[in-house]
Amino acid sequence: MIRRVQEVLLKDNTLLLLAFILMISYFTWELDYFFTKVNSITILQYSAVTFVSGAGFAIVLIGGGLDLSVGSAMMVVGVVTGKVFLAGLPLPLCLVIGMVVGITIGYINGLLVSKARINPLIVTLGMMFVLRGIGFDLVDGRHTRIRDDGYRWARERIGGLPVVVYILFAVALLSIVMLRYTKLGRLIYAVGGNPDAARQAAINVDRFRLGLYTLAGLYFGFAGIMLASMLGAVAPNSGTGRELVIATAVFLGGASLKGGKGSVAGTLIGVLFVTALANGVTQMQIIPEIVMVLNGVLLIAAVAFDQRPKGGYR
Amino acid sequence: MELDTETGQSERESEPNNGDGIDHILELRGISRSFGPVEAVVGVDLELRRGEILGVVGDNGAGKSTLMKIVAGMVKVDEGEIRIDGQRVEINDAQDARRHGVEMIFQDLALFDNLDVAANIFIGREKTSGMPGVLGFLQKRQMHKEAEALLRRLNIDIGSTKTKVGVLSGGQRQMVAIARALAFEESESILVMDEPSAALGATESATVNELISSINQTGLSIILISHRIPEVLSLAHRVLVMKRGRRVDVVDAASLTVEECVNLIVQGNENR
Repeated sequence: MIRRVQEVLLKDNTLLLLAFILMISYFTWELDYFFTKVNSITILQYSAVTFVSGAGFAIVLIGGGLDLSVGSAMMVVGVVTGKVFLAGLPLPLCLVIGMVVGITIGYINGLLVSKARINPLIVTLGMMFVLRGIGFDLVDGRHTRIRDDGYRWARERIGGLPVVVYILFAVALLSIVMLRYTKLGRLIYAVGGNPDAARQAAINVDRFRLGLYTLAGLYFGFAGIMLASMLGAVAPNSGTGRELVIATAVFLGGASLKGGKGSVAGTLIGVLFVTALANGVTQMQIIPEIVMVLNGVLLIAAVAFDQRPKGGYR
Repeated sequence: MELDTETGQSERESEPNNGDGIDHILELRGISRSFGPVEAVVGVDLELRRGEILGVVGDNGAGKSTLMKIVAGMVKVDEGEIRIDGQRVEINDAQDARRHGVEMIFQDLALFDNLDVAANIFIGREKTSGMPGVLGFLQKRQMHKEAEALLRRLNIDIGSTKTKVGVLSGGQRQMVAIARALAFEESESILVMDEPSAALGATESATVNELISSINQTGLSIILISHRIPEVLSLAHRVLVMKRGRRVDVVDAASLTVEECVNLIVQGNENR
């Protein structure tokens, strides 16, 4: 009986879902304004950017890689998009330029990992600092508001729901379908699960990894232009520290450092979890830094759970 | 066993049989490969007859796996030529090998524990529809159906093709690896098996050996590398002995004892 319960709990994201429901229930019990329509929409709105970037992060992780440059990449994309907009370029072109910057960053990461064979932790950690420096330098560290309604498209609402919420669900649907139902998704799990076997199955693993990091760059680019629009500013400090929240959400959602495991659906639940947690803690007027502590603890717990020995810890 | 003192080779099947009507599906001539100062394979000739099982035996470091990896496209040859069906071919990677009908089952089986049986069988050759290339939608139902049919044809009982390979036993994993190698093979193809029963117990080894024998009877030509001499002698038609990267001898398995085989492996041509 206990074994059966264990099997059910450990299946996919059942444990996470249960924890999520328990947490929501607790905050609903404690707070008058937690489980309201307005607050629910706020949670979804604040989840959007984290989810879009988290989906890219998850896909790389499932494919056996790692990309810690996510926050800095989003920041540089936002800075470049804002700068070219302030220089007078039409908004659609600015958004395309932002996306190209994101894809280029992903491509560079992919080249360094797959062709130069440098450890992805080192590559993307180094890129995190390189990009942060570049982003700061591009605007001399200055934060500049952009008071243009067109630029702030991400703040618009359609049918009462913020545009970014629709984007969240659209990206979720596309990404879930891609990972579960296409050959690309199958190969991502294969290369992540056993890259040597993938080579022996005549899959060009190096070229595949290059493509994977470039795809992640596409996600980060999109998240970056969303973030810039939501902030309505050129903000060189945006994206800083986002790596922690994104990583926590993705590992909670079932991804593994070993690769070959995880899902976009799990990442979505993980993102909603950490966003709702931050929301609830803020409403409880506990010191905001506690959210960072909780995220750190959750990250360690999620990775420890993934790396637990088969028979459990003794 | 009488030895030809001039050539140091046995009277049994040891000479390449060019031009005598024997049908060779695979021929290797003068194959050499080094890794830095280490000569892994030196001037090896090999002939695989159509429809036979050729055992390859030798001590650790004899060059058996390197030679087979050359055939399977995992390692490039430094010198020598490869002929398939009498035609000279270039095998630069695994895709080339597959194109020429060569499939290899590696010692570690090269399976994906995080994917199910059907996914493992079709990996890299998935059936898709809709968009071209990697964006195509997986025809999962069709692949499961074909995987089930394949396992039934080979008399392999795995249970469901939706089972993750990671939970299968050693013998079952070996069966999946064999099924994957055969899924796209035609009878006029070459299967290379590297230590198929190395990690298996007696019962599972017997089951795998039965499967190897039965698939050979469909006409498949097989090269079998193994340390288990009795198994090789019971399965193979002929045995290639290697030592220190060189071909020692090729003998008819039926007339070779385990002791004689071990002597060849250990002493090579030294005592002739």
